[in-house]
Amino acid sequence: MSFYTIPFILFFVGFFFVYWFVCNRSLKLQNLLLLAGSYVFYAWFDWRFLFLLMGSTLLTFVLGIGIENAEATGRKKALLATGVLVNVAVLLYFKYTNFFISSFVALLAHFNINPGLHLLDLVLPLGISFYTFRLLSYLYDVKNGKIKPVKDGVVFASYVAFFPSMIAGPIDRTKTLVPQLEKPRVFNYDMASDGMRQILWGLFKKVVVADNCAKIASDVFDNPAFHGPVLIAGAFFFTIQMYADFSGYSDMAIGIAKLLGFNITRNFNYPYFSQNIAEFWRKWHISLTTWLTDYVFTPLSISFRNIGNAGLCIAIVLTFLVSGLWHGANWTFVVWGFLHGCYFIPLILKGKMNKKKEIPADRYMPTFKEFRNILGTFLLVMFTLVIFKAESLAYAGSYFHRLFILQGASPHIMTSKWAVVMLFIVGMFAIEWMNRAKQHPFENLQIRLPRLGRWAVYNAFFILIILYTGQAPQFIYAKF
Amino acid sequence: MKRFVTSFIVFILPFLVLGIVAELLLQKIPNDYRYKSQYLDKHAKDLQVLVVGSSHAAYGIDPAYFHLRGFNACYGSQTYDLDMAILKKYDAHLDNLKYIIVPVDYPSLYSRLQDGIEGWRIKNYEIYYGLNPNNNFLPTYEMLTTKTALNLYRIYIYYVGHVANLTCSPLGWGTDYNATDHTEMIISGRAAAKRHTVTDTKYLSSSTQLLKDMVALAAAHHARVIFVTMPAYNSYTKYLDPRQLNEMVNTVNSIVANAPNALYCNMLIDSSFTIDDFHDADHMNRTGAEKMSKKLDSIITADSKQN
Amino acid sequence: MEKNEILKIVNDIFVDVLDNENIKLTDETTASDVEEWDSLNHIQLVVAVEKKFKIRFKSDEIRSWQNIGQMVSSIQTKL
Repeated sequence: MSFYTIPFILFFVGFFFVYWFVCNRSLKLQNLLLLAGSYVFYAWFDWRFLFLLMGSTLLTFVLGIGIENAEATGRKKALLATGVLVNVAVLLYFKYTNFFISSFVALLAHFNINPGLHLLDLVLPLGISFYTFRLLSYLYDVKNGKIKPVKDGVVFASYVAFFPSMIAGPIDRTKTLVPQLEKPRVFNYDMASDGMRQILWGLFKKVVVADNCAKIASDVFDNPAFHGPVLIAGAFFFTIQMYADFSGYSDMAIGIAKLLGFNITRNFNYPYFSQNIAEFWRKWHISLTTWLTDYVFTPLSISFRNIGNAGLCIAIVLTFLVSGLWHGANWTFVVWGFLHGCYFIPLILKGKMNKKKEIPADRYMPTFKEFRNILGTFLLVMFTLVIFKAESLAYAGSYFHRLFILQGASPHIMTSKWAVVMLFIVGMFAIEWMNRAKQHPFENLQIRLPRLGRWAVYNAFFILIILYTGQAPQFIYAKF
Repeated sequence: MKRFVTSFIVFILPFLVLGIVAELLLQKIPNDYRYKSQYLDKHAKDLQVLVVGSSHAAYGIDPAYFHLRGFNACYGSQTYDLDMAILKKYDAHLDNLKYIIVPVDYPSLYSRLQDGIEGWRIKNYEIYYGLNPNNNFLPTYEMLTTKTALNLYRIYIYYVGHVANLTCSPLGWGTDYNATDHTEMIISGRAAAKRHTVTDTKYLSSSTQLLKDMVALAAAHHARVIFVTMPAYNSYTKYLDPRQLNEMVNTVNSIVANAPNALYCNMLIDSSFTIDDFHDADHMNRTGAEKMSKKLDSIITADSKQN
Repeated sequence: MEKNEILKIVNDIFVDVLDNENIKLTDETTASDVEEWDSLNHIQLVVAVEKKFKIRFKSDEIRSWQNIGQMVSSIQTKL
């Protein structure tokens, strides 16, 4: 159930009432309901994979306790290895088997060998990339003594299956969410209304900006005959779509969690205002970046520390290769990751990776130099997103090639709709720019605007969202 | 908490009310689906000839030219699964049914409405015919399926702009295909043929079964089934893949061979239809529909004398 | 070497690597207390410390530090 569908809304309204009106008596009841709700939510997509989720959760839970009870470091390491191996193997199997098979077959085809291998008929379990990373971070943190293992099964299982962040994150660490699960949640008006405001902003980004950009980007990407500047426009709209869609979804997830009394990890911090790629990755998909930093980059950079900058470069490229693969089972994602890792190399060599030169929050406009940096970073990201969106490296190559074909008639694809969407994009960025010091632009609106003004804002955005929700038929034929 | 819930209700209430009003307004706009469904509700028991199918038959068969009492329950992109659902809905009431006319055209055996670009139309069958082909357990509403901006536009052009929305005659024949520009018609043929040529035949066996089910349903009423391949202009027919055409013809022939109450008329090869009978390369206009319907009527008359 | 001596040298290293004269480390200081200290330059700090004291840490050791005090203790055991 995607968040802005009727089944989810009905589910959540019912859940909300039972959670706050019935289960508020006891912590155990609250957590049991949360777990049951999360499992119902998960089963809605595919009840068979619920067993996989439960199995992985149970295994990790048991191993976590086992690691703590083990006396010898060797035994601790063995239990950690078991947990990591099983969870990673499951993820690899469902997500990457066909990728490995088809890549292997393609490789052999170069040598004219045909092993006659078939792709497996696999379905990707919902959220497996996300919950596997929650499980892995738990095991590592327990082994490294960063946290104590969770003894309450319901709490642990709720942490893993937490439904607001199951579909698309954020990826919470144990120490963020578990302490909140171990205390009863008391309804807080300010937190709940802040959550509603964040959901409103997230919905705006997703429905009004992202979905409209998606339509334009698809029209451009799907037509292999297009060439010239229109392809730049297509890449631009896709770049906006990626941000509005993903950050919008994260805002909704965080807002929904707030409605239930939870503060979960922030996932985006206005990344397109970044002045270099290091700043960008500190602000884009923050929960994934910190996960990869703590569990991939740091161990690698520690191991390679004797070869100085070269070690850091290798570590960052490897980390981003993992990130690329995490995003999907296609060489396009691998190349995307590789490019981002390479983008860091000049920063590492110039020693600028750690320099944070953020624009002060009270400054009205960026300086020319700052704006140039922002634009440069945006273009770097936009370039890689073409590869990210393409269905194959060959198609990405064709896209770039066609971009430079300037002769011939320009395709008449631009409509007045583009102007309207641009208006929304500019509006979104203007609002975010002016509110870049806040967690989300509508934070603390109750202090900044009087009630009438606030409700005008809520209604205006809600009306926009409603206008754009729903499907537009592709062919109208003037017949409905 | 009380403050939160109250604020939320106060906020959402106007939208809910407006939404319900909009839904009522939308569903009251006359449309072909509603018209046909209501007609069948009232007159199914009186019908002697029922035509089901997609746009080729919607525009090509006008029951006004039948001697028997008939109705055209076709619509654009309506595929066999929906035809069967409609037949099943009125099965118990078709007391006087003598003939079911089922078009079998070049793409018919291979498509399903929900897969194609027109898949959004399924909601019209759910709302206006009361069918539930996808087994939804939540009811369907215009406001919850279609983009709100579009819905508001529809309300505006009907209630304020007074643009007529009904495009069928009282007996269900499609009235809005009356192009007179032949060049456009000729050009459209090739693209249409290409669009209708399939590589994936996954629905062939289930479509064949659906046709057999229609034959059986007719038999239970002691009625007969006329499978017909609708005429088309040669700017369409010359681009058709012979393999797909042969498969279509063979499939129907094999069904008819095993069904004493079924017959097949292939009008695609009928040379009496000229360029003046068509709106575009594969749809008939008013003149062509009259011609086609009179031909069908004489086939029905001859057949009913023998059976 | 005494712990506070080690702490002073470590502080100088931080000021130098992070390019910030205002850094004042205590035993309880963690990465979240120092704005420029994040995972991306954490390793450079570690390398600078190892070079300065002419010691070498084990990977597990580095990962186990929760604050400056624990880093200082690790340094002390190696001197």
